[in-house]
Amino acid sequence: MIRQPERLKLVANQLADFFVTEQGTHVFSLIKALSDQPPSEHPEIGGSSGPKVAEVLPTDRVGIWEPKLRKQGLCYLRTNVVGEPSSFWARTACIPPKGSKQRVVLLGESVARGYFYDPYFTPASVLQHMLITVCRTDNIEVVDLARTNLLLQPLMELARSALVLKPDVFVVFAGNNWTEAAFVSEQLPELAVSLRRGGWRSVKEYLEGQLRDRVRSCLEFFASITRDQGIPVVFVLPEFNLLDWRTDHRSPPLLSLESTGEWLALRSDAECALRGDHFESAKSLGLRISELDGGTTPCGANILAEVNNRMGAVTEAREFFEMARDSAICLPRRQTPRCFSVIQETIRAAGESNSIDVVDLPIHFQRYLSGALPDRRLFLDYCHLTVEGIRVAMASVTAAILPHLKHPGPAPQDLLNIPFARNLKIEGEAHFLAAIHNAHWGQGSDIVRYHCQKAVEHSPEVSATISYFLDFQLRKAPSCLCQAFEEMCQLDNLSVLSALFNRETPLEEKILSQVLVQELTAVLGAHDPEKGRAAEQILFQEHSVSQKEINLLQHAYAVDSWAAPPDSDRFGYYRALEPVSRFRLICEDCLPVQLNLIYRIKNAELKQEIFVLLNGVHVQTLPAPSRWQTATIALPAAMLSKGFNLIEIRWPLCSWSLPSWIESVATKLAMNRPWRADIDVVYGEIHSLRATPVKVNSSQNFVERAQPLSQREETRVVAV
Amino acid sequence: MTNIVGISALFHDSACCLLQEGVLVAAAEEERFSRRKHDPDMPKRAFNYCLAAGALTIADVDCVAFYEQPSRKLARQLWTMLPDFTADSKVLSRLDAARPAREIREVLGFEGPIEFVEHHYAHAASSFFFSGFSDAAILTVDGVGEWATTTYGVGHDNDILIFETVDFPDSLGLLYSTITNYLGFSVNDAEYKIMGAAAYGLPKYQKQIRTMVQSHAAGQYSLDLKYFDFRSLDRMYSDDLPELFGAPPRNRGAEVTQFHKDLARSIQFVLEEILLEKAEYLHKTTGSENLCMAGGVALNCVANSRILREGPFRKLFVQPAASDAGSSLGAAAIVARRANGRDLKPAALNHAYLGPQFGSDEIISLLRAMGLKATDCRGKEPDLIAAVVHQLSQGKVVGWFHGRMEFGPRALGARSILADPRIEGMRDKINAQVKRRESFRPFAPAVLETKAHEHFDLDHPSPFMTETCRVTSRLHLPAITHVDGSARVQTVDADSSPRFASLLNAFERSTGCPILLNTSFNLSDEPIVCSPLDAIVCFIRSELDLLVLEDFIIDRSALGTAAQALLHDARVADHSAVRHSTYTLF
Repeated sequence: MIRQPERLKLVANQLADFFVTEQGTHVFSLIKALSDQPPSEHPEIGGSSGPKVAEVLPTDRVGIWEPKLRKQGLCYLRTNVVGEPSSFWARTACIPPKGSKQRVVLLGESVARGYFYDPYFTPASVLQHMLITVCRTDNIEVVDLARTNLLLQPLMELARSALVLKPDVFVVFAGNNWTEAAFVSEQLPELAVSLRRGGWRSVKEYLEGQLRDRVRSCLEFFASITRDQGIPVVFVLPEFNLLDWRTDHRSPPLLSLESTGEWLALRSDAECALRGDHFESAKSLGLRISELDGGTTPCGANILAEVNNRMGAVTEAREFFEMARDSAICLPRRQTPRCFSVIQETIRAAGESNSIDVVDLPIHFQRYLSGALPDRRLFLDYCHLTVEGIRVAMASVTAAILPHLKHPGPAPQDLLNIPFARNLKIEGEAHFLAAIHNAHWGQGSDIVRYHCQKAVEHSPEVSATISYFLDFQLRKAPSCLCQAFEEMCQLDNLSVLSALFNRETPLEEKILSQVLVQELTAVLGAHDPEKGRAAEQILFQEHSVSQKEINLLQHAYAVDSWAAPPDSDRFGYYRALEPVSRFRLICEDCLPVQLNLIYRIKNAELKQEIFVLLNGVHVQTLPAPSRWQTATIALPAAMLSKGFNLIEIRWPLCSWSLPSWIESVATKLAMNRPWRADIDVVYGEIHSLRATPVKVNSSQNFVERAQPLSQREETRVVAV
Repeated sequence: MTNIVGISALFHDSACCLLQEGVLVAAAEEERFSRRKHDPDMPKRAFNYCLAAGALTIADVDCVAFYEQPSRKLARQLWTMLPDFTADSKVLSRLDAARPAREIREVLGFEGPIEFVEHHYAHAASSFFFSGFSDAAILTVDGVGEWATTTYGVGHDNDILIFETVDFPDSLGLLYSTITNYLGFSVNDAEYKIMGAAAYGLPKYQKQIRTMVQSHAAGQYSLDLKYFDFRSLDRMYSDDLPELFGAPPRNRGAEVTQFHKDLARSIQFVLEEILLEKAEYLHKTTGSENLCMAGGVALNCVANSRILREGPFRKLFVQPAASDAGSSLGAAAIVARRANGRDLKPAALNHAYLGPQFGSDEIISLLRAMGLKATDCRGKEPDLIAAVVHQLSQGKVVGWFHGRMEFGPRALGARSILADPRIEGMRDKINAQVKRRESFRPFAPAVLETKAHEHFDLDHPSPFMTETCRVTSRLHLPAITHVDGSARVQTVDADSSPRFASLLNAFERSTGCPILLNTSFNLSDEPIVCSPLDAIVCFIRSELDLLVLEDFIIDRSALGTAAQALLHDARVADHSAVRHSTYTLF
């Protein structure tokens, strides 16, 4: 290292002093932009041509299966790999050396695992059973290498490494987890260019283009396996639960103030029109919403889909349900996996060019359902299949594989006649897990109730698992530490355990879903009233405001879905990203409650107001301060219900400049700074929201670290 | 201005503190809340904790004091990248002098005035203003702040004057970190491991080290930069360094050989010698009998004890969070003084219990959820003490969770793991089964302040474990006696730590030994526990025999096996919040 001249320290000081001025900041950012190196080859995909199989050295491991020499030869044994969650992988214990059996290797994501049923009932086991039955031979084996959360690049790496298993056919059941492939950090400056050029809708188009390119690369890779290695690849194109899964977003990203105001009003009117069955009105409102946001939210498409579905126009309904699904590619929220239209189209095109075989599940399901839209019959949630769904899917896959195994075979619908032993206990538990999953992703009470009821219909024994679940889910302690969880583990149900325990985040905060708690308690109570009451008691003991102060900004009360805003934990306060913020308040005794709120609205205008509602009824109007302000709100006992209560804060629409907003986001994109938190409108901010029972002196009421309210706040208590 | 928040952040070990009317009310490191070791992010959780501890709303905070001057730091970063500071776009893109202010506004939501305090000035204030001295010499030594790496100053009443600095790239802190890096340990994290390993070696390589650093007149010294590379993101040394020592760098996780121990001893020796020399200079220049030290190098307690014993000063104060986390205190103190006039001076720091504490209700709720059988000793402290003493004397290792969490890297009886120091093999047992760390690392003792002189060569209180001394006890104390016969002692007094002092008293009455092994309550590579939940998780994942959670005692046999199995390999803390291959200069 060379010692730079000391005299240059003074120059550096002067330069730095300039760079921190307003003008200097701009100059410095230009210097950074000029010195920016061209993006390196995308480390995931390796460029548009994709990795050639022949160029790549074989890996030692195949996923988490390590080669070990055994009597019968080189086997691949399932092992624990540091940093790789073992529970994500198929439970294939040992992959023996290739023998005389024809070998089908299944690669895929959680759908391919048979999520919620695995390891008791999996697509691999169904496929094997169908193949053996049809071919009337035991000489076929299906090697299950599926992995939950498998992404695009690791899928290709897995396929490459799996060549050592000498498959006769690859089955690839994937496409739901590829959203992230659209966002590549090296290409964020290009995203910035798209944003500046055409707003957020241009970003959507750009992302779809990126995804298309990456999927093409992936498909070319698989085509090269067929071409160069002579191994047929059957690509199973996933479908989505179009009818029963709702993607929602309550505020449009990156629109002007006027357009946002219009959008919000249209949405409200459209929902009203739908409730009143005014379909034509709802239709025109939905169209206008989609025009305004350019398909960057699912709102307009959801309305149009609903209208068409109720009017019996299934084809149109499908089109709009798919549009709603596809909007998630650019939604500034964590979203569930899904196979976007751009992925489906790209895979279909590859099938048409015969570079790979495609099993088009959307088409197969449509035929199976006689044209009806895919729904809860075939899906447990957004993309994970029911037993029926798995059988229909694997029948189609079997039919596609058979020619490659040199076996003639029946049509897929005939394969459905192959008998299967049912395990009602496992099916019941899968519905129970689906109820949780649906609720935790913000789905409505109807579907949650459906799964709860199906759970106990299939297997009354599930009520024991429900009882344990409610116990530990309602407690603030992490689930895996709770005694009820320990007892549930004694039931020795791997599918329940692996769905409910995340080894990567074992202590993560829980969602206290009112819908889930109410539906599960209802089902449990119908089966065993005593247990239903016990669950209610735990709810009150842990969460009721009746005896202690509650911090309503805690996850359990402020968050109702895993579709959380990105970077939400970046801030030390709550940011309202929707026009209405909702908080759950649990009361055991209906005594008056005092809410203490510290809030602000940046860019608030004079005379704007905030409305506070309790269980849908207005309780107080507050000013809209641009700087932090404390307010106290009295919640009268007469307005509170035993159990869950809903506190809503309705924010005004404050001013912003769209060009400034876009430029700010584009600058952050270009400089690779955190940007995702800036896409949404911030309607308001809350630094503190605490509920205190009025009957007890607040200074005696603390079990948390917080100290009593400051003097300043105590003088603002409103007499009730 | 009544309520001043001090913040250190965006480098490593973010922290936040609150001064109210000049009184230090709360302080905590962000990592304890986020569970990300060395968390460098803007300390939003620690900030919200400080507000709660002070019964404040965010609008009540009068000013935020930040622990460095961003523009001066930017200047140093630009100079480091010369001759062409645009050449490395990756590094260039990270330079952002506006980031501290922007994140204080955006991440914390703070709207009020923000003041920036020069880094070493903050270090100096964090020590002098909390020392209780009316006058003192002040020595701050770290890797680098803005430009300064070492400063010499003097404090009188409410004033601090820094009269000399050593500037980057000449840095004792970076020298030590470079050797740490070469020895295969994590920079900004494991320098104290080198200090511990030094006791096993001989200073065979001091001559080579002396070619890397040369002392000059007054407070000055310089590095021979041909051995260093502070621009690389992968390592801190050039190819010349392995040549100098005739050995390749040690790979992380590889065996620590005698060569490595000798090199550790050598760097430690040279550091001590230079610090002694500079302490002499500082004494001559200031004439004070008192010395205050701060900066990351001031955590080198072995060097501190040499300065006190062999140096010219009669008294030494090292603030317990002497590294960057503690400079938040200094920043807040300086701003408080600026705003409120020269009369304001924070009180002497008698203890480091500045973090959150937790009540019985929260613990009961947790125990109830877990179905854990616990002995409830609420209102029965003597029974609790007696039970713990019994277990300790049986050779059990105890997780001890009581009161407000300590501020700084040392566990001082609030979040501690305790054991009987007299038991042969106890050190190895705790290293292997509980802490899961290198076997050469020593453990430290806690001793009643009134009894310290009977067992250690220590004639003054040492409540913060910032110096070492010789073990002179007639008791056999293998678990806390380092291979060179030294120990890093914590003296415990009943006023500051009543329950911990009671425990030590009772242990002495039972065993004749007023000393306990005291190490931090955490597993290796995880932050020290903060909440009861953290303590229980650590208890489950370690092999501690007993957990004392305030007034509740939980035996290991009460734990369920499923949770143990599930948590054993699970990811409960982020072990890598900062890069450890090099010092974070950019």
